[in-house]
Amino acid sequence: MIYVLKRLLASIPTLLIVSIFVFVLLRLVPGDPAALMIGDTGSSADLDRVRAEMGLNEPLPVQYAIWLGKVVQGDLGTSFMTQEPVLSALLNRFAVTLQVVLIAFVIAAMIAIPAGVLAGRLQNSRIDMAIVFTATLFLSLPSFWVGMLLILVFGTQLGWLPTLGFVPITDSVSEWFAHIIIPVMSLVCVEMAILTRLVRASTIEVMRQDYVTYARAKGVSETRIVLQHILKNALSPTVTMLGLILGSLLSGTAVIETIFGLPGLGRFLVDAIYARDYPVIQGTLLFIVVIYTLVNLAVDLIYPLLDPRVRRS
Amino acid sequence: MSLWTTVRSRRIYTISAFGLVIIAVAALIGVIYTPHDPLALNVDSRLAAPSWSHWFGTDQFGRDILSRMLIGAGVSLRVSLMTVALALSMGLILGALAGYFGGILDYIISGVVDAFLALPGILLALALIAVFGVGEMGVVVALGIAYTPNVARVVRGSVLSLRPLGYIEAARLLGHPHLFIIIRHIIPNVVGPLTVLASTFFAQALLSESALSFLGLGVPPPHPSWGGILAEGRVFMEDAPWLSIFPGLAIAFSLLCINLCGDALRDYFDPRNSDQ
Repeated sequence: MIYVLKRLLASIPTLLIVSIFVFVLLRLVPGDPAALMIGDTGSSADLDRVRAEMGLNEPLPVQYAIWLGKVVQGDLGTSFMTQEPVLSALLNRFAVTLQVVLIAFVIAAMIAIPAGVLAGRLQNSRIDMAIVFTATLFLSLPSFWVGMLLILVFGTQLGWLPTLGFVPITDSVSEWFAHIIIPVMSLVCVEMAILTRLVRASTIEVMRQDYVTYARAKGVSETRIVLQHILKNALSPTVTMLGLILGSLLSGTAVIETIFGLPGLGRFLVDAIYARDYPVIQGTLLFIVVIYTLVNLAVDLIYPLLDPRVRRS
Repeated sequence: MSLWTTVRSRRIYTISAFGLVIIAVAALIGVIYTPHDPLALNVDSRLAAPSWSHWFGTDQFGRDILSRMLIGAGVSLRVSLMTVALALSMGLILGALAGYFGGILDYIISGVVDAFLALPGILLALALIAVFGVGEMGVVVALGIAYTPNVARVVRGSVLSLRPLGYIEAARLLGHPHLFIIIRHIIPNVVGPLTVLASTFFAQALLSESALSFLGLGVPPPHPSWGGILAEGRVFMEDAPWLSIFPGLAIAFSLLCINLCGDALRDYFDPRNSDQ
């Protein structure tokens, strides 16, 4: 419990520094921040109100404190693209991104873990080289290009799948599935590649350990060595990387979401950049950093459960 | 073992190194000569399929795709190289300062570096582009800043492990200035990890540049970039699939060569983890 609290406290400076960065970022944009915040549609009365609300007549640190106070209470302002509160819009968008990313992640892990362990165990064999080359090849395919090709084949040529849009699972399960399958497959390609290389590297590392040699000398069957000794120990370093991958995956879906017209977080940010919707830009950045920090925190907390050696220290 | 021997040790490394040379030559050719004017509109040859006069076909304005891709190769390589150079130099300075001097300076630099590591690179780049605007320099600065924290952390780690070594202490006892010690004794020792890191970021920068240009946040039209050609061709994917295929192949081929060369570098600088 104390460990959890310690870790939570340790992430506060990080969040503060990022919040200062996000705050300063908006001040760096040429022009009046209040005018930026209300967009092109506001009247001069709105402008005065927002100026007062943001405390623009106060010194910069006071402005930051006012802004941070609101952010902590969950008030990220109002989007001037959609006129909705930024936080609730973010949560709606996040739900879509999360679905696609998690499904892609699970599929990628199911392919990558067996492939990585196999390649690592048969290091330098033909099978290993084939797996590594395939992984490197997939790593080199831009996910947006894979997405385009999949649309070209399954959407326009074969006409099997819709090429654009999103249907919530609560409306129709089959429609939901049809709409997310291509985006999911495009993400799987890249994730699978990264994960396979990672799992392979940790497998090789574990195979060199004395306890594996000892188990083999003792006459433990290869299947048991793989399942009990190698897999278990090779997965724990991979889990730390999972947090990083998942975090970057959550934000890296911007291109995928744009191609497939998915109303997710990444596309929200890109649209906000086009529209110079600064409340949304600020809010999305902060939101993703918080999520990213939480994911890594969760990984840090799970890690000792997998690896008793870390628990002791 | 020399780097050349490592590259020669596996056929796949040799091929990828050769591939990189081809891409670089293509970019150079693009600077000197293109078969057609990459910006010239030609209404008579709109969306023409690949042929002898237009090897990779033409786009909706009748512009020659091969010519545009040759120019695009230069853009992609230039942006990626400048990004890596920017990230390496800033990261080297910050990491060396933090690791060498330690104390309060280390505390501040490491704090900021760790905070920025919590921001995924492409996200940080998007944020910076939102403020500084789109364009080739915008992409370089945004991606360069985004990759800097990683470099700084690696450099700081290496410097910390070098500091207590005898020859660094000896140099200090001899009265050499700090800057001299850093340049003469520290930097040569971080070249290995930095080169490996640089190859990773080179691939990432190329991918990010094409993704940003694809989103319309990178190199602005009508100037050709691989990502931009892909984005423009998206609408005509059904009638003119060559617009979506050739630039994508170019990106994938470049990334594959860079990634494989990166593996070769890793084998060379870190033989412990190599597969031999």
